[in-house]
Amino acid sequence: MIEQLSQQIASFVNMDAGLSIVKALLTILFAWLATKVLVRAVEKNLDSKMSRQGLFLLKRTIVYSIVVLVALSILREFGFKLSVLLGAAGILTVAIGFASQTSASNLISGLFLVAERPFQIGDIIRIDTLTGEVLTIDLLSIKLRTMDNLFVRVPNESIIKSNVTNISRFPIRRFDLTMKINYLEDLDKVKATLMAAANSNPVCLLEPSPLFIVLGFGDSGVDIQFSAWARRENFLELRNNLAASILKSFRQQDIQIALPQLRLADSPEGTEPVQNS
Amino acid sequence: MPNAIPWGDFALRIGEHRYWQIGPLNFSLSRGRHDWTLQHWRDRDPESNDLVVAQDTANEPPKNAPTASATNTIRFQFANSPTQLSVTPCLADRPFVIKPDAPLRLAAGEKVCFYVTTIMRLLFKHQDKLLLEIPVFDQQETWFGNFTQGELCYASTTMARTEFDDVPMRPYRPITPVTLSNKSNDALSVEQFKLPITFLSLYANPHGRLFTDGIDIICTKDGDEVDLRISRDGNKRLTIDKTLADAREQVDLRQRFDVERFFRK
Repeated sequence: MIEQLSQQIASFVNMDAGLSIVKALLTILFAWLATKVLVRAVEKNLDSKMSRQGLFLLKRTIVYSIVVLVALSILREFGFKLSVLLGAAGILTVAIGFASQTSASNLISGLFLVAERPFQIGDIIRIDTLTGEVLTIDLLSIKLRTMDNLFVRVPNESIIKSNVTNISRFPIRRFDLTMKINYLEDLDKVKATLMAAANSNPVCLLEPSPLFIVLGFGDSGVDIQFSAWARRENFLELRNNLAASILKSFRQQDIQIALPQLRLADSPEGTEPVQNS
Repeated sequence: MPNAIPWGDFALRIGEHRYWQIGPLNFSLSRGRHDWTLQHWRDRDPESNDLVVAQDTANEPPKNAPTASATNTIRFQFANSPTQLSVTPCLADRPFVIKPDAPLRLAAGEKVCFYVTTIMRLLFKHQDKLLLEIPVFDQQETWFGNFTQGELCYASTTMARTEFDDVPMRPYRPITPVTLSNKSNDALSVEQFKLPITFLSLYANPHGRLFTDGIDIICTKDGDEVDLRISRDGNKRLTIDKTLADAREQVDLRQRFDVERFFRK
């Protein structure tokens, strides 16, 4: 095989390379123009019919297919036999495979991600502690724009192994607020106040209705959870407005949020303080 | 009878301004050399019955007008400001989920017509080109469907009045005659139902009262599908004077809908 490859290289050196180079350059130019026209046609005609992710994949497929076809065409123009090249590529693949296991793993993970579609371009996702908008989904990695506008590249392998939360998959989200209420407060009154605060908030959805849960009896007060729903776009507004309106309502209704407290008592008469031995 | 709302084109001279009060919404328009400025604010209870509707206070601001910083201000910019802008009403941009004051139960084969009111919105246009759309009142939103699939709607309650004369006069709230028909063999229990207001057109009668097409929501014989019928003569007592806004969406009335898309039982 190496002998055949050497012969190919030798014949390339001896041939009239000038004409082939011109032909190759023309092929590249034609392919570049064809790619531009095709990608624009796809964008124009399918923009409203396909998702951003689908459109992105289609455009990538078109570009990569043309690149491969052009590469093969140019190699043939220079006299390389494809069967020989494919044989060499097989050996090369094994060698590269051993040398780049991580990349291969990322590549395969990327294929799974494309097939499984747990998120799409434009979605807001959380991977472990990292939250951001998906900019691209490539074969080796995805690119995120974090909320503080940083560009982050996440290898596909680590995404496959991690818990991924897609924040923008469903149109509505629930905001959970936990608080501690003084033991002296009437829980029915607390519940009514919280419900009124939620219902007076225009971004809080009426249905699914807000949720009031007593979590348990804590050290200094009753632990409760109040949950309200909002449109995904209004989540931050709900989070800020609801907390503010609850505080305001609690002040108006004279409901006290429990603060950590430690009660000290004099030891009763006749009892001895504990002695250290 | 409240004042008829003078919808349409309003001409102002440069430097002139004008105020409106429509239900809970206050707004003013003023004209500059290269712009029109809209200021709007809401400071009244939308459920109150004694609202002043379309009181044209000419060039004097209302006595309770807040400072400019407390209002929402939008400037419509032009190369040379046009002499007039149009202010017209339209229906809501999403369906309403209507909750009767008590759950309804409609016997098999029964049909009932009642009146519900919704909140209108205002369109500011220049030569039929939309500049801005604002609601008269920020209606509370609700979700109609399950947690993963559904539709964002506005929430509203109704007394489900069956007599037109019993409907309170709130001219900024268009009236929709709704007919619920139960053609199934079982009683239809309705805790909430969806009013697809985007399929309906908005009209006014000679008194300036706003109303929409009538809609029939028909529960079919097998009970798991719904037919829709939209009729302009839902209530013959509401004499149509003019059409103010066409339906936002056209619906194919030949199709049948899943009953869960319209009723929450």
